[in-house]
Amino acid sequence: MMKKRFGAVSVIASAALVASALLVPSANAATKTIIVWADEQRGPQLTKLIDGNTTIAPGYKIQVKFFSALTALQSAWDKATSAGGPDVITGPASFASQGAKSGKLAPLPYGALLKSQIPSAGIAAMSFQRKIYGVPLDVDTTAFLWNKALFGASAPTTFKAMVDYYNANKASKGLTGGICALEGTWGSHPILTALGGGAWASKGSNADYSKVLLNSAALKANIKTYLLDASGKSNGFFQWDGCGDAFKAGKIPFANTGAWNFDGIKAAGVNFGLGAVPGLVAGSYGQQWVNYSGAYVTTFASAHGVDLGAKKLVMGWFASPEGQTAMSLASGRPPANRIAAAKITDPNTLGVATAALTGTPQVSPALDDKAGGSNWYDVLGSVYTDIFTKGKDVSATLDAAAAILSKNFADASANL
Amino acid sequence: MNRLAGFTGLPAQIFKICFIAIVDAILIAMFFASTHKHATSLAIVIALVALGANFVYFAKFTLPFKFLFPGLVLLVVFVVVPILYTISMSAFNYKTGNEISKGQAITQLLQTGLAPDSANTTYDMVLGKKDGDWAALLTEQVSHQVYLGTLKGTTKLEKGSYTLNSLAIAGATAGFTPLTADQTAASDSAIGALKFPLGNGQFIAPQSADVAVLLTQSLVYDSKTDTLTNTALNRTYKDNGDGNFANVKDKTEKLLPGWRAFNNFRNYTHLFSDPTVRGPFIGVFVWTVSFAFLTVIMMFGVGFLLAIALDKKIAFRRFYRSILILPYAIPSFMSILIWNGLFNRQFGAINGLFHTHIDWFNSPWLAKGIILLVNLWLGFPYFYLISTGALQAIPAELEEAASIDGASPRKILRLIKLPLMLQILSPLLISSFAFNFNNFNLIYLLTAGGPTDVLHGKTAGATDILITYTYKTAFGSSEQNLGLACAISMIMFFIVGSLSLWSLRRSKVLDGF
Repeated sequence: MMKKRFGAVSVIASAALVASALLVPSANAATKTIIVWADEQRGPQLTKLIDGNTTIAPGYKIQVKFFSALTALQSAWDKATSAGGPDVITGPASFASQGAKSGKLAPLPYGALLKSQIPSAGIAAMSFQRKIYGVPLDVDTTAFLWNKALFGASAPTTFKAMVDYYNANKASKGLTGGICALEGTWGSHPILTALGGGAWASKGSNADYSKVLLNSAALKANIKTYLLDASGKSNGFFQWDGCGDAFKAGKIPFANTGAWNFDGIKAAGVNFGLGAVPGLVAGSYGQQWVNYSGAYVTTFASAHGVDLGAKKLVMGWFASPEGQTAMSLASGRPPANRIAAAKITDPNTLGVATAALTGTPQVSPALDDKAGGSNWYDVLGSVYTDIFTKGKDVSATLDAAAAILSKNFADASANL
Repeated sequence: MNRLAGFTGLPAQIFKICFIAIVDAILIAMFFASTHKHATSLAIVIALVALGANFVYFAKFTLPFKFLFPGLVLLVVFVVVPILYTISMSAFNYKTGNEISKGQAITQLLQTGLAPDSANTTYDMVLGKKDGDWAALLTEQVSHQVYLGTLKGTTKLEKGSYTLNSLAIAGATAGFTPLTADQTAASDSAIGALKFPLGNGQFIAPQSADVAVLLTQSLVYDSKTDTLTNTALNRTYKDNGDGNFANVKDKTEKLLPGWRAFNNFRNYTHLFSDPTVRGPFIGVFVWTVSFAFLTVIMMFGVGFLLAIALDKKIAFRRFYRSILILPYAIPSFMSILIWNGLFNRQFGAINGLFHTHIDWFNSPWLAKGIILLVNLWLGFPYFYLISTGALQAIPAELEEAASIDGASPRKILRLIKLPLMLQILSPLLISSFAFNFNNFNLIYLLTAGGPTDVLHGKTAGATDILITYTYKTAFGSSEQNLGLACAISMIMFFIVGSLSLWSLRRSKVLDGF
């Protein structure tokens, strides 16, 4: 009886081992594979360019895994451990500070050659507590668009010109707004700065985090002049929430958005021009947030035994003129590497790159900080709702917001 | 007769062996995959499950376990383990910046303590072996000076003592054997730890397979005193007992990353003692209880009244009964999103219909009203259905006797039907309260917890309930506080668990056990 039982067990054990050998992924094949995580935009581009590559980092094979959206990538990255986490991750500059704090990103000492090719703003965007955690891939910013069929071939020269056009044509052309910030509060920054506002002041070429610009006297006055009607309610010119479809439908003449939306806007039949949001006087412009997307080596790469290969991939391809030129051609985003940037020929990419010249660095640790209770984006959302939807007092609203932001910026600047 | 009753003997044995073999194959595959990913705990659990399954299905004296085993395994893995994990994490300082172990944090801090020189001196590197030990030919990228790095020291090589390779960097010298790419990749971890000393605390360290940089270790760890010292700034950092190394002279200056540290259940005391946490928590708690209570009362009230109305024989009764079930038949997330669109300020049908511009979702009271209304829409059919069933269970003789005694229909409803109904439906009302206490989908899809009065320092939304507030605390922004979220989850667990237990006792479901 016992023999029978042992026989059955040995049959099961043999069958199970054979079957499991078929099911288990080949451990040896995966040993020297560099896993790269990306979002739904860069993922397909990277798959096309480097997935399966064995020459960029000789001795290693590159495998690209991409997610359905940036939020899905962020969520997976938040939960990642060395058991299933990536060796290299691409994403916004905010990943640098978050990854450094959580101990998931490895610091990257730049060589002299690489440092000479990357703009200092790009290096700053990849840094946390004076250490560099990634290489900037491309300029992540927005540009000003105007509908040529509505406004004409030439760009408006002043903010007032845009508002005047809107007021004059609102009824006759059925306009539902004047300018649309397609990316919400983030994309509205050039509009704020064109009116004399913004997040923080500048001291020379550096940011002065001790001075919040959101409640500047100029912004308070200009909001009343250009964005509100005589009764103190919104005149409908400024739109920031769900207005993209109206711009595509030709119901809003001006917009601010990034290269990722250009194809959709073109497909909707809008013939648009590119530039920077015009300021109060001709020749002055609003400042876009200029951010950089980065490629980062994770601390998991070391645990996976591919740290050198991952660093070779990031420093030797992602940061290189060759790698960034290839990515720019695929994505339409201006590259961060100066040598690659000089090779841009696509007019839309050039347009965004030109708009970026009037921009200001988007310092994520300061904008994401919530020592005052809420971060920059949530505060700005409440400001817009209170002023333009609820019709609350401009001055009091902006002062309340500035009080929160000054705490945030003071807290963040200690770690920059 | 049971169809399976005849499934015995050799066919049944063969089936059992095949089935267990497949289960074992899957578990062994999972075991290997886990060990390959260095997930030791998971591998141990899988091994125990595999051993347990084989023991249970091959031993003769474990008959009851043959039926209970799959359920027990799933219960332990998907219910008990998450609860235990949540309880344990609620006692830790577990948030952004405090996620890894102390050992990992020290390793990471020592990595960040590696400082390049002011010129960012970089070398093109050819790795190899000399006298059986690691060595590297290093060509400085700017001056093109060549060095031979060994573990004992780095020496300058004169021209003529080395030869250049196809990339115009030093590739060979006497006694030096370069590594192939595959050999380099195979020794990735060992090479990553190499340091070629230069003297004065400086060393050259590989950064990839072919590049190295000049570094200095500015942060030094002393395991005896458990302190880190920044030699460049002459600052000492000590374990502050809360998951960080903090400057001994300025405790607000902390080194990041920190680690997940046991904090004596301070997350719980923070909920009631820290005003920045207590304020939102109490507000959210009050609304959660109010919402769950009101929504159940409203759903039951409407469902009960409709059941009473349709209890009488009226024209088109079947049609009315069918149509009342419709809101229940449509997936709730679709209904919620449709309601969200209907109440949109700019494009919504409600404002369009009445030519108004009411900002429904930005007024705390309107938003709360919408939540109750939409949940009423979603929930009344359920209460209509169970009320109809309960009404039919009340003996008709009771109503008849009361009528003969002169009771009015209103009195019959108030004094006979309603008390009897409440007795029957109490467990369902309590379980519905518990369900709505955690009704994440409704709140998140309809208002996302808003509106939040950010400008007046509020961090929780007016319609946030505990589960959405917990979600925001844990995952809502780049600054996550998972330990605090775990503590709130535990409070919710005890409230809902107590209600469920009370409900079970009241319904006497457990009396038979």
